[in-house]
Amino acid sequence: MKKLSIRTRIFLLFSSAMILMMIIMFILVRIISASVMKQTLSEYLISAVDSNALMLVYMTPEEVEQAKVYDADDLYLEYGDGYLQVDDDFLDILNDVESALYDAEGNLIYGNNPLSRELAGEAFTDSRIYEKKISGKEYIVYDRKFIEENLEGLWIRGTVPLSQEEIQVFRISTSMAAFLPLLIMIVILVSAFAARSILKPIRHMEETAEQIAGGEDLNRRIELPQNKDELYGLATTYNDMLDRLEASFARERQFTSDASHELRTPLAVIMAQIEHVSSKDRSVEEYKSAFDTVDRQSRRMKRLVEDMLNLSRIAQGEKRYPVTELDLSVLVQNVCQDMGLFNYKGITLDSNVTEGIMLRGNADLLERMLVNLIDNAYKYGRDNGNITVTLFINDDGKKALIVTDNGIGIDEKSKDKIFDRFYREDSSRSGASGYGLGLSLVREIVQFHGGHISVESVVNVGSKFIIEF
Amino acid sequence: MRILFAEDEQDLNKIVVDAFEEAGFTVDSCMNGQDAIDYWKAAEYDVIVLDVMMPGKDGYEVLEEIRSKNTQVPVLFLTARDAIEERVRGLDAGANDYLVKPFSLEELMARVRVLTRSSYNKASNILTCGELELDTASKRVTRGKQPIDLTTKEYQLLEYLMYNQGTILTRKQIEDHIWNFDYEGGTNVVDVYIGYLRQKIDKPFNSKMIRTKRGTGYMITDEEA
Repeated sequence: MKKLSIRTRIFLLFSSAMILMMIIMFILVRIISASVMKQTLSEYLISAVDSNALMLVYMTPEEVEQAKVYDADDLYLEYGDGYLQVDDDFLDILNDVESALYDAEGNLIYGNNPLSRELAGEAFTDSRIYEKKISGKEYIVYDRKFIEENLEGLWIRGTVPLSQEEIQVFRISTSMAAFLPLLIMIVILVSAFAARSILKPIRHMEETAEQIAGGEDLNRRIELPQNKDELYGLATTYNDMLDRLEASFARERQFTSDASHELRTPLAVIMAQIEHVSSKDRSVEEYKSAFDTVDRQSRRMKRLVEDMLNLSRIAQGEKRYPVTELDLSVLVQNVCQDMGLFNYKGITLDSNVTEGIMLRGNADLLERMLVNLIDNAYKYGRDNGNITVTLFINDDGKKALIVTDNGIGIDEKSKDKIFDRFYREDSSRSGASGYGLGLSLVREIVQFHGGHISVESVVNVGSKFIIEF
Repeated sequence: MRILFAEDEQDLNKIVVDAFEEAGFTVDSCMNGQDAIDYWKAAEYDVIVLDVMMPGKDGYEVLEEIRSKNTQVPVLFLTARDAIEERVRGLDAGANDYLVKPFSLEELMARVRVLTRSSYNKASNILTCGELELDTASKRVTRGKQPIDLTTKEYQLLEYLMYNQGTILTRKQIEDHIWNFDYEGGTNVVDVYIGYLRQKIDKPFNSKMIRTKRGTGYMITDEEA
């Protein structure tokens, strides 16, 4: 079943269901018609017996003499003190119904047919239809008791063979069976058509998908079917997926392009510096300054490459960065102590840390996060400014880490973008050689630890980065 | 030749400016697009070298503003993106040339010389005026096969005169093309350097090529007066 195409499967399921249904119908028709036939036969039997019962009249001897004048053909049987007049319309064989008249002891009085003698002496059951097997054949039997005056104790017994009914049913069945191949043919054709028409939009989608897969063009979309059925949903989902894929490819391309741009700039400086300084003999000071430049720029490249690596590794989750229960307070204090020694633009670094705050996380990443934030605060801080790092449990019971500076601030329209990769605030570039991955990495690290980062800032007053775990 | 150089990377800016100066150019440098436009409005440049990615106004915007004033000054783009569409965009916007970072300083100098030459309709690096010859690539000057040693400023002055041979150049023009904004000397600086140049170019030979047009300025020519 698994090797078959969906179309074949639909076809097979559909046609076999239809054929099965037809067979069930056929069997049902047989059963129902058999029971209907039986019913009909029984009614037929009863009416034959009842009409025969009307043909029997008791007469006194005087009446018989009189009657004989008119109905010479009728039969007059001695019975009790008088006679039984059996009308000549009493039919002991009417089609398949055989009837006979018996007395209370079961002796045959009238009715000349093979069964009547055979059934003589059988016990009577009043006005009840029953089936009986007589010399290998099934019959329906009906006994009728006379209750009229002078006729008490007489019985009429009628029989009809069941085979009659079977013959009828067989006839119906065979005539139906003759149509069966035709019906099956129709079923097969309809199933094949149904399978095709159901799968047509899917085939169409497949073709479009193939074209998208084959070409470089991710712009193409699957045409939506007109009615909003399941396939419409599928096509929409598929298109949404393509949208996301395209966007993700575009981001990837942008990232690669930005990354190469960011790497090219320090590389250009290093290469230009080396070419320039080696074009002729230079003084020791010139060489020193060249080395400083190369050192500065290669560090910049190193950090950029590290950040890029961290960003891509963090996407791989906990495997790369195992998490442990760690003392966040100690970690923050250590980083602040180290960074506080960094004498840059006369900026001072203060910390206000609540002790004993624990967090499940990766120490390397958390350190990197704080270093990047403080580094940023230095870079965009004003001369002789101040940076404050605070760690405490806030009113919501969350661990809050806040880095505040009184630097140049971030304007409203840039606030959403500063966490984007390679975004750089234009006006803030005065001299600081910024690189655009620091805050992006910070956000990734915060999210890795299930936290949230936000920024409050006023231009020329300062910025406040708030992290909550 | 006076060059305007706009590049926001501090280190690169300094290195390239040094290299330009060592190659005998006069350079004004700035770190953003708006400053570049202000400089361009205030002086006359032979070539403008622009970094594409700059804070404030980027290279494209600066170029757009320059070209909107119908100025023919040659512009060279420096870009860290080498995607074809970036280069096409730059050239379409009216740039005369581009270089992708990282680039070789030597190549940058060569391309700037090409742009200078083409703006004076010269096909070669060798400028001649009679028996006087000047090689803008090697900075060597000869008169009648005899090498002449010139200082940077003297060389720059001679090169500018030779690019414009047969044309009278005013003292203002000369000052604008040879000295940058860092120079705050007296107004007779041009006369002083013309004097130095005459000592080396004309004095040892019998024909005088550097002429003074009283009240206007100077020119160089090999035609007899």
